[in-house]
Amino acid sequence: MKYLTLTHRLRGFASTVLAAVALTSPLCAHSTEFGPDFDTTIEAARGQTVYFNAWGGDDKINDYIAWAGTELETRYGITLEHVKLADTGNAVSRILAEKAAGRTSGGSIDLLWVNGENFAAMKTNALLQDDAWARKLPSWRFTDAEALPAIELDFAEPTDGRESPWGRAQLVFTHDSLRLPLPPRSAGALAEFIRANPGRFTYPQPPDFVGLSFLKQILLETATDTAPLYRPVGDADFDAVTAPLWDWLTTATSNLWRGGKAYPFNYPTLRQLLGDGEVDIGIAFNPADASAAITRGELPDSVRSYIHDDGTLANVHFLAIPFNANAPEAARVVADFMLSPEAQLRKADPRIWGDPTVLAMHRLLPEDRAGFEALPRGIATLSEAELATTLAEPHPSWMKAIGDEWRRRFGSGG
Amino acid sequence: MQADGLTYPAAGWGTAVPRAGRILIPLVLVMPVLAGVLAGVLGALLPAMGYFPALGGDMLSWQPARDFLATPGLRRAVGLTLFIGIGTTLLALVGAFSILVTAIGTGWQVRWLRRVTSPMIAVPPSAVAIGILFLLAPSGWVVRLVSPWLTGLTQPAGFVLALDQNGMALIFALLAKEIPFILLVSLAALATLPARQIIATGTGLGYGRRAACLLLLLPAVYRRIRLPLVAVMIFSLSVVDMPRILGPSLPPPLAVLAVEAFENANLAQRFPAAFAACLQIAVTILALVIWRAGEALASMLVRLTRRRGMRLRQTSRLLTPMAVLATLPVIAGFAGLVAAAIWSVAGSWFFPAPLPAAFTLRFWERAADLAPMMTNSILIAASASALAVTLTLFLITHGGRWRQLVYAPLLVPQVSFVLGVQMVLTMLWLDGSWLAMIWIHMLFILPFSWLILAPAAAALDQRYLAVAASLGATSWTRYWRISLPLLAPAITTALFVGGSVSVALYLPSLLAGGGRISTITLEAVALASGGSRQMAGVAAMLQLAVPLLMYVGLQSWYRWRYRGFAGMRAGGLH
Repeated sequence: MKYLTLTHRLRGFASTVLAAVALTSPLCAHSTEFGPDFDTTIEAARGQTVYFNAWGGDDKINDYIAWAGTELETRYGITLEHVKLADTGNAVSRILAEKAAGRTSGGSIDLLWVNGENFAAMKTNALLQDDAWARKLPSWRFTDAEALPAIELDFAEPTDGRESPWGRAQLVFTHDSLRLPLPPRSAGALAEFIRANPGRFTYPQPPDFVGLSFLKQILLETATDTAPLYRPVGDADFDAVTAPLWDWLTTATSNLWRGGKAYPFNYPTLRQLLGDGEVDIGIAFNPADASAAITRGELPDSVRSYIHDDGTLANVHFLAIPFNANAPEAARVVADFMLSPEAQLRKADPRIWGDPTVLAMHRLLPEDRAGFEALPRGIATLSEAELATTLAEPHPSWMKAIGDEWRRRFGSGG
Repeated sequence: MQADGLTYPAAGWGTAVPRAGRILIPLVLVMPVLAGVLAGVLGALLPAMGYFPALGGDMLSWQPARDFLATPGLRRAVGLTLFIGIGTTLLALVGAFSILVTAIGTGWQVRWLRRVTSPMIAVPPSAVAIGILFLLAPSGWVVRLVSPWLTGLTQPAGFVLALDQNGMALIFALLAKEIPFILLVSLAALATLPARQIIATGTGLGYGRRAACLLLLLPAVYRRIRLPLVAVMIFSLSVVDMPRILGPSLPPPLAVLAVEAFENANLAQRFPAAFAACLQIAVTILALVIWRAGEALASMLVRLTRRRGMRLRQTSRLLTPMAVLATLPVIAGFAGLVAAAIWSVAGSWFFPAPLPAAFTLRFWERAADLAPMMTNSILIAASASALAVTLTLFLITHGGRWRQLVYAPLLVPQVSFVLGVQMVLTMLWLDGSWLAMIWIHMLFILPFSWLILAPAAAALDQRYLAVAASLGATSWTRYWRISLPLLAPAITTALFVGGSVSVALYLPSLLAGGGRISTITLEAVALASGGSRQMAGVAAMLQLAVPLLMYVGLQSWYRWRYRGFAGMRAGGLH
């Protein structure tokens, strides 16, 4: 990706020196570079328990979080409890219920894995910690918001430092190379594929997140002018902007899997369909998803990934602290640890998790950078260069508008 | 006579309680239930009318109603919901009764039936749905077993067995659970009736054995299982996890629409979601009214048939094929479980292989991590069902007009009910506490333990108590030494069913647990959201383990406790 290949030599050198100082003695470095603030935070964090609410549908991710928990316990005396969610919306609901009940401190959630719509909703309804804490984290210096604007712009919504970047995601398509050697690499080619192969393609049913992301992808590829998509939907002529998407779908729908009369519930269900051979193309929001599924025996090892020639949607996922967190200090220490080169390197390893890093390579120590460069890639994972063309996420308000219109047109029996 | 058509024993230990206690005790007992129900209903009603200050809704308005009523396909969703609810209940009733009539009179069959049906009740609904989907999908087990040698398929054909848009697959899966449930409660009701005499009377009048069952015995059984049927209907009307696996999805049933709105990241959707929850209550009431009308019609038909003296020879002949048909969903349910068990040890299993290409215990090794959640689930299930049974026993003798309240948790859809309850728990700082967890589980178990215990208590032979009283036993002694032991079979059944209900509760556990207490079902749903059939298989097996452990425990206790009593052998969970 762009920020990985840029070489800011001078800045890189300066940060290398700083990082060298920082890493030789972490506690000491914090106090020299960031003042006594974070030391106080670390001190206050000792003995606290962080209830980390995060999606729990992947045992690799669960294991990674468990590893972080062990490290945090030995280094900072923080207990990390992973509350495994099936749906992040449920956690947001709980914070909302606590706010409605007037609980302004001692909340049940200390740290939340979040992005996009959920973040925007929490920000609008004042459910987040009210300062730019993420920018004050010692590990923030390893990031570069100029090279990767998405770490401060979550679905076009400014983060204002109220969530700390954790990992990157990108929409990728998967195909079984034995059944479909040459997959369609654009919205137009996909439409042609669907016409020629009835019943062999589908997407998760909106309002599922990946399903809506697929619709946004098609819209970004077919729209005549994409600029309005990056402003609130209310400022645009919705019908005119989205017309190409509905045309595309109207043509495709009757030739989808089950004639467009049923859709998979979410992307893991779509992955099952690909594994079962019911469809030829899968969709995922993590470049390493197919490789991981092959290791788990859910997809045949002939499955490969690809993206569209114009690029695919890419975004960053974050860690946020609710306004009423019971252990806000420890939550910050956890977020800082999760952003550290050590934790990010481990997370990026496909044998551990395979989630791309949010750090800027030119801000890292040479040995850390070497660690990232030496990472193996999964059998079905594209290289960074192949993933380099990306599309930025539209403003989150488009999500609901597109979802509602989809339901109106296709959601009642087609 | 009570509204539910049962008379309850007035005696028991009740007479020992002073007058003031008779008013106070019900109040104390009923308060926790009442508080839950009120919180639940208000938690849905107020936001539905636009009032929810935390989201800036501080005025009453019709906007949420207008917003939700504008949902595309809503009319079809409501129609589907009614169709699924009433269709499932009707088919479960007809299916269970056909099996019952075919089996009656042959003692071993009835005992066998009870043995087969009980475990099915313990199976979590989502596990049944996953199993049936894997069985019947175009790439499912049935097709795999005959491919490619019979069908010539090397890649699945596009025919539709599951995920249909008319709810057929969903009804089929619901029947897999509900036919055994109706059978179990029918068998319990049958035990309270002089079945042999009734059938003998019928055959004496020249009716066939089956016609005698149909015209004389089943109406009496039906009157006793009306409440379980209502429970089946309400469950089918409001089930969320099964349609999310089996469809229909375009549009989904009303309850799914409501949950989707509640889960929407856009928090403004909470208002129309609350209205959807209220609409769900209205649809439930409508379904009950329709059912009541159907009941009146059916009873008219039965009376007419009896008066005309019709012998129903043709109808009787139809019963065996109907009974065979009725076993299909149950067999499919079991086969689905077998498939889940195989998946849990499958390394990889691609179409059209009839069995996995490789086996692994990798996924079971992870099961060790789930041990704390298993312990939690067992503790919660055991204590909540014990509490619910105790409370039910108290309510039977002391409930008065409050009794009907136990049904409220059934009547109000989980999604709305539970959110209101969550709010109250949060205000009281009780969220994430064991107290809250056990209490909310008890609320959901209560209706089931009531509908098992109340008929049993009503059928208690009062003459035993009269004899005991004449021998000088105090009311407490009579209750403790006679009533309770006579109720023991019903109590063990209630504990078992209660435990099964408790283990399967997802949303209530999620909300009351507050991220502090995790259960095996919470863990199972979170793990299954990653789409791994292997993990889902392991999780389903573990979910099943909790009620089965309870079953074995209760059964062994019952056998041991009543080993010396010949008359008690037929009871229990046999």
